[in-house]
Amino acid sequence: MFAIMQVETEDRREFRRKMRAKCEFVCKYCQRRFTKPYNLMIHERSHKDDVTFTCEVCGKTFKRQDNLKQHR
Amino acid sequence: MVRSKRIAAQVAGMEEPIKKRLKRDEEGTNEDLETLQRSLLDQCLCLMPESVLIKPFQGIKVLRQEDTRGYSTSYIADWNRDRTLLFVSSVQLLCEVAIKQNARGLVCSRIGDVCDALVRNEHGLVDHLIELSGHSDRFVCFSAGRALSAFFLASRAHVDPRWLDRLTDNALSTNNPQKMSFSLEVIKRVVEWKDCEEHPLEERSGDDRPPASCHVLSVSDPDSLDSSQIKCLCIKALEAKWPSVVSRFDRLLQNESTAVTFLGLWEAIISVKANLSVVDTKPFYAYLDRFVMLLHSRVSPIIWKHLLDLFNEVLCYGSTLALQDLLAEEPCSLAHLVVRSVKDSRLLDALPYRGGSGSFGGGYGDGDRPLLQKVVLLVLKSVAVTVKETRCESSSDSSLGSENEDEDEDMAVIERSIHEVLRQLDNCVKTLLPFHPETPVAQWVVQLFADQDDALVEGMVCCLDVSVGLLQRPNSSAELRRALSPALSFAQFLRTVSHDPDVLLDLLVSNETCFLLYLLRLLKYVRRNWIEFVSSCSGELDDIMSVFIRLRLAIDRLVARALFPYNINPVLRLLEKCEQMYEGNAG
Repeated sequence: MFAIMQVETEDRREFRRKMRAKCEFVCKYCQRRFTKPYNLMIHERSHKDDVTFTCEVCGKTFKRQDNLKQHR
Repeated sequence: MVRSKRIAAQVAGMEEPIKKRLKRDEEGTNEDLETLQRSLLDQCLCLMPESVLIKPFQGIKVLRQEDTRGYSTSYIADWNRDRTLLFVSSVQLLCEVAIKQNARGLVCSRIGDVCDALVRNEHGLVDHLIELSGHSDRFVCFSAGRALSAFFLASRAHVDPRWLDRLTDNALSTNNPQKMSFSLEVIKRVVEWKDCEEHPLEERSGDDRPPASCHVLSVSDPDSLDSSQIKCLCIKALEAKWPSVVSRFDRLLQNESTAVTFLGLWEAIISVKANLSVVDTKPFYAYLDRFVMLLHSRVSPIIWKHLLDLFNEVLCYGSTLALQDLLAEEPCSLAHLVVRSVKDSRLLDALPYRGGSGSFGGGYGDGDRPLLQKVVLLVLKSVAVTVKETRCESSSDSSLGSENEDEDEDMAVIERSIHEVLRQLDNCVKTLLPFHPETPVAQWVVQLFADQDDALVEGMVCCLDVSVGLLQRPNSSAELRRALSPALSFAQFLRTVSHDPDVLLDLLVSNETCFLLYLLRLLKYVRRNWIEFVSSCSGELDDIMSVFIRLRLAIDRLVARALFPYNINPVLRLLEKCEQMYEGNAG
């Protein structure tokens, strides 16, 4: 069944050419390509380290900024 | 980093008295190295006499000896094990302190000077550390590896490519698995390095800053924060040797820890988190097919787990593939192979699962639940990638003038195969864990992954995408539609988190899972299939909608105070639409 997907036919090559032209949003970390800016934003989040917010007074860290504000 | 030739110049003029003192120290204590470590822990070397500071680096001279098995043993001449360990760990500490101070923009000038002297390799440190990879004491070997990784990370752009060639040659030059492990582990630690790393539990205090008496230099070089260049150099050096390393895997299997190191390095290179370019990592996508075949053989559960981790990293569905319209060939061909292996070669029967409570004849505990979780996630991702690729190609075919009937026929063939794969997966899970025979995949996925939020959310995204991609056709299987019901999945998920919208908010704000993608797609599905969603939720609709409404209010509050870390508007709009449909429904 999957044999049809693996053969690089002329149609498939044409498809790849067209899609490459459509993929205008390129990840700044890994250079993968996306067609929608919001999809790129979601992808780029996975490259970043998880952000933590630290209290300057006691050093306690929070994953959410609102929780830090509440703590203060 | 700050550059200075001062230390090198002083070294030349001090050899004689240092030699005398060295001799005395070797007979007595390791005071010089202990003082160095204490000063490094205080973040400053300004008060340390230059002679004491430079002495250990002049004392290193590596000798080699072959044992009866022909393995080369290296040791630093005249140094006992403790002194060697102390020296190597001091190098590691020095480099790590320098990296941290550079990242914060304030460097003790003496730490900068010593580090620069090392980076210029004035003491031949790289060769010495590589030589220690064959040391008979495994603690020395391990510490030398840690020190070399830290050294490369501290050197960054100044790394000489020949050092990396020597390191990769070291992996292949002998049959000693310890040396191979050493080289691969050093590269792995560099590739896995995270800039600006600060552990959430590591509370920042004044203790980790240089003291007031320190002569501090301010550094504002953006390159000092960026490890991508050294990561790339490591990958380039390894690329040339990669086919030879891979070809040795069969032999590596006799030494499990080296095999695990090799698979761990491979996974680290492929990982999205490594932030490496797909162009640079492309050569590392070769040979995967050969390794899928290994899952049929009698490899140990630990190797199975690492192979599954590697394949799961290649199929980076939630972070990448689900978001792309054109999928790379390598993950697609891996996904096809996994699907074929499950369907035609009964891959799941070969799973080396050690009996849990659900196994025939009883058992104890949860058995090897992580192994089962990994294989289930791999199969779900493979199915999702296959469906996604077929859909993308079908839509492209129709734009090229193909008939819609052909497209539907293609999807029907895919659906039958996917149905069979999911049937086998369902059987496998229910044989090994005590789920009710009627529990649909969509529900047990949430229960199976309840202790692993990243895998849980990715598993739910896969089920949702397969359901949307495959089962929106009029003739699709009702049985498969129920098995993958997005409403059942979400209802089970909300029960698991006690209908607490704060958990959903935490998942949305954090980037540790792909929950943003999941929620976005779920809400799109709910909006488009409202009637089906309402009927699947039955008595739980009010509870589910209550969570949606409270989540929307919480997001609104954060957005109003500009505290949401990214643009969440698409989710907000969908939540509002679903709320409107619910109110219309209630009215």
